Amino acid sequence: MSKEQPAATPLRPIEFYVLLGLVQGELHGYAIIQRTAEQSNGRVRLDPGTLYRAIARLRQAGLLEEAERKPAEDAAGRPRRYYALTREGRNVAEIEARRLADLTRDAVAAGLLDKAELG
Amino acid sequence: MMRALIFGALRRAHAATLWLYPRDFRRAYAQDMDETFFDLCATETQLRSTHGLAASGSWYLIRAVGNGLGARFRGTGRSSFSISPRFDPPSRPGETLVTNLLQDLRFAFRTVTKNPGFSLIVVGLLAVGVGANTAIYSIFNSIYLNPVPYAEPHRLVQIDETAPELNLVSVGISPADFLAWQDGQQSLESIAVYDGSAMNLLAGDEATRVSTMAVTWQMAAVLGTPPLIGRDFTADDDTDEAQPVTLLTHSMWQERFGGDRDVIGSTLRLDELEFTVIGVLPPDAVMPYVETDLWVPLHQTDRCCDDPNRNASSFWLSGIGRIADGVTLDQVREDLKRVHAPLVETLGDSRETITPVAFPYLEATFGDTRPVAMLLFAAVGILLLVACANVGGLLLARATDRQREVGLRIAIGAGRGRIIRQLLTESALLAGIGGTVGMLLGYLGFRGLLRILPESDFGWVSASVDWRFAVFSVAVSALAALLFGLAPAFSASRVSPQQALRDGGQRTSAGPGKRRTLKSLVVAEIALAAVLLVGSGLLLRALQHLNDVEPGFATDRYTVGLALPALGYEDRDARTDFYDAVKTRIESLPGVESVGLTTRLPMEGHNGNFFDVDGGEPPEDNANPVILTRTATPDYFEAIGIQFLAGSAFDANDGRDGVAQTIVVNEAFAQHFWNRTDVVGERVRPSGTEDWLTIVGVNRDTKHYGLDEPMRPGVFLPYRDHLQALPSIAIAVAGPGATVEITPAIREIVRELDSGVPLVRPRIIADLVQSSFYERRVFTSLLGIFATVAVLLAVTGLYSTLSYTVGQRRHEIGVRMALGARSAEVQRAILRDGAAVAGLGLVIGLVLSAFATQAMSSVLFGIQPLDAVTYASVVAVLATAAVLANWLPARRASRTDPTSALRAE
Repeated sequence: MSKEQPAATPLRPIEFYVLLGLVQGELHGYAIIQRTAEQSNGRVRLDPGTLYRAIARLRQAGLLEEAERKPAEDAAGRPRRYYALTREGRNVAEIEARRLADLTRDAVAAGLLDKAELG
Repeated sequence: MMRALIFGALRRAHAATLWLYPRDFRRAYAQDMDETFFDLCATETQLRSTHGLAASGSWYLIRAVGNGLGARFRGTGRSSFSISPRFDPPSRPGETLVTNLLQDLRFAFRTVTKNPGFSLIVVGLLAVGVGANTAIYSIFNSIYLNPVPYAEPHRLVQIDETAPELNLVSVGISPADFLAWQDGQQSLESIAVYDGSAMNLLAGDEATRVSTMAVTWQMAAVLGTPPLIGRDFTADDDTDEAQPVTLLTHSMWQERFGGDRDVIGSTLRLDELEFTVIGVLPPDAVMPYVETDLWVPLHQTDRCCDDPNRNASSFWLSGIGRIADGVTLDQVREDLKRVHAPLVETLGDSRETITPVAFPYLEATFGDTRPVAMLLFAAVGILLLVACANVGGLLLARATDRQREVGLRIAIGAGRGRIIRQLLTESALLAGIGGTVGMLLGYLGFRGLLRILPESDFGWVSASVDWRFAVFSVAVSALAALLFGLAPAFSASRVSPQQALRDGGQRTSAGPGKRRTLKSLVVAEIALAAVLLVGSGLLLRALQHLNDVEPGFATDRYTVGLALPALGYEDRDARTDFYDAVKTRIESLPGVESVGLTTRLPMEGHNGNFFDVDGGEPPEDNANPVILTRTATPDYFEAIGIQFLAGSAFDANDGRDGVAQTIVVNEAFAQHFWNRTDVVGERVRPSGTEDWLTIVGVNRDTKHYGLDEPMRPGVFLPYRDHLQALPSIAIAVAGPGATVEITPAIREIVRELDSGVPLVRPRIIADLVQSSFYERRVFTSLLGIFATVAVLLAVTGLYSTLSYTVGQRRHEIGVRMALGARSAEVQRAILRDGAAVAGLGLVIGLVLSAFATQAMSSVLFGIQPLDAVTYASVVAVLATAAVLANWLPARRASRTDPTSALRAE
């Protein structure tokens, strides 16, 4: 639960996943949900409310922005907004990933995890 | 198909949850969220089964509600990702929803008991509202929603015959038609006809009159109430040759035989015949007449059935049937007509105008009382609203008082959500207690109501409260408490701690917005109370009007019935001789001035014949009405106080040989055929007879079908005329001795003549008249009680709101008075304030009433829904009450001591 997070942790897992989903390029809401599900092997199943609350927070924090140009493949003609990472967003995501990687490495070194488990 | 439905429903539900989000968030994202949800569901629809779709859809919806509420109360979350986001106090171990709830409840309980006066008032208000609703709904429910104790009552149809051309809605069923239907109909599972009557039960030398129902053998099967013990009638029991048998009703079995099972096989002497008891009906089998003691096969009664002429031309039975599976009511109607049609040809022209009809049984039985019951139901609904508005006002006022407490709690770190939850728990606790007490009240009220309602109409309603409704009522009151608890909770939690604390130990004052809300609640209460008051006032006026109706006969006379057994009185002369002997002896009793006999007292039902008029053609449009036909002795008119417009009664000797020469007709009869009342000397005769009867008198119309029903054309024949068989007769007695105390003397006279003849219903005529609108009186009083309670609640609401605002404005008033305002001015200002609220409520209430009472016109008996007297009275009552409610707070305000009011600052 977010409440119990140590004060120093900058990103919640959901926010991290949303940022992660946008690394490959700009996406609309539903595509983010799909991408997140793929990336997490189905472990993360976002619902619209959670997603957009996260989007609202990330935009307020300047990590995310509405994409200016809409990619061509949306031929259905339905007006929908696409989101993209800001430069800062990309940085924060990267820092967070490194932090997690460090933690994981430490966990392996401590014998808590098996290296093979990480693939 | 199914999935498309679920899909649509999910999407709409999701769209609804979007309203939970704060407005800014909604504006920014709602459309995108809807699109996203649409895509999600589209995928799910392809991937999943119907069940799966519904399940995952529900999961999304629950999440949506949670997110919506979260976004509203906690914001979207952190808005900055700086090093120190937000300080959340570490949760204590084990702090869960349940412990929170328990904590809330404990705290709520402390608050509720700390302020017992306030809590008692709230609980009392809710209890009154919920109680009234529970009681009335239980009655309503027993009658209309879950009415008769029979299996699948909606499959029961009431069968009757109608003759619209003769201006007769209901003529009854002829035995010929019944026999044809029994053999030929294909739409009913079973069909039966019945006729309520009475027989003389002789036990030792004591004769009592018992209510019997003559039924065809399938009656119990149609109703779905097979005998509790013993056996049912069979087709063989219902023939002329059969040994007489009878089924006891449960109440008769209990009362007369103490529930003894050995009663089966014993015999009862009924009208001189030995009837063998073959079974006992279950307690449920109380319809169509509650007071029935016995069922006997129709063929065992002397009126039935094998004289084909009488069979075909006499319509007197009531019918009931059980619809077969998969058959509609219209099909039943067609089927009955199909079987009836050939009879028209074989039995003659007079039957052409008569057609079978069928109605849903429940509608036919309870349709009449529905408007009144609906009215009561609406009334208790309004009462509950008034009570809830009152509670809402109280909670809102108190929330202002508690702002400081709330501010303090916010300042030391309580979350808004927690505070709101706390305040709501308090409301819920109060609602729970109030609802429970109300349910209890409702149960007692329901039991009490059943006792005062007429047994003939409600005797079969079992005294079990419908707990579903009790639950519903509690839910309604809880919802109201929550709604009104929520507004104060929000306003209180919006307090900024600094503000609340800065105000120090003082009560913070309610802002103008909150005062306006309080006043609107009071306006609503007064308006609703006014509607109830107008409604009950109208009913009261209607009742009064009904009481004032001139019945056309004297109501202080004494009447009693005599019923002769068939055996020993086969001969008409034997009957009239017996009646004459009784009459002569009663005439010699002290205090008796006149005694008359008749076959039918006012309000005691209809017996009709067609009449021909000599040399007159009846008006075309209403060709030939059925004429109410009664026979009477000449002194009956005096004994019961019927007046003559022209002529006088017939001669006492007329009809001695069985054929009368003269007749008395009523005003309606004369007006119908001649358009005037001086018709003495004109001649009429019952259709189908040879000899003309000369009219010797025209009597003033009497109310025969009820005080609220118009009189129809009617005649009196000399009672010796053979047109009516006289198996029973009613005696009317006038004079100072005509009280119920005369009954033992009359019983002694009859016993001396024949101990096997019982007295039937001795009473004063006024009772007979009163009982004809007993139900209306009960309902009117009930509505009156509800209206009174509503007015009391509304006035209390007005009083407490004004007291509260005066208390709130104490400081301001103090300042004004310090600046020189005189106490009279202050008092006037407060009074003006209250009068504005009350006046607005009254005006709105009267306008609402003008619309609402239009629906009542069917029960108002001639009183206009916009009756000026009623409206004026309501205005007077409410205005007086409002002035009283205003006066105390105003006086208190005018006595404010400026020094102490200012010192409190």
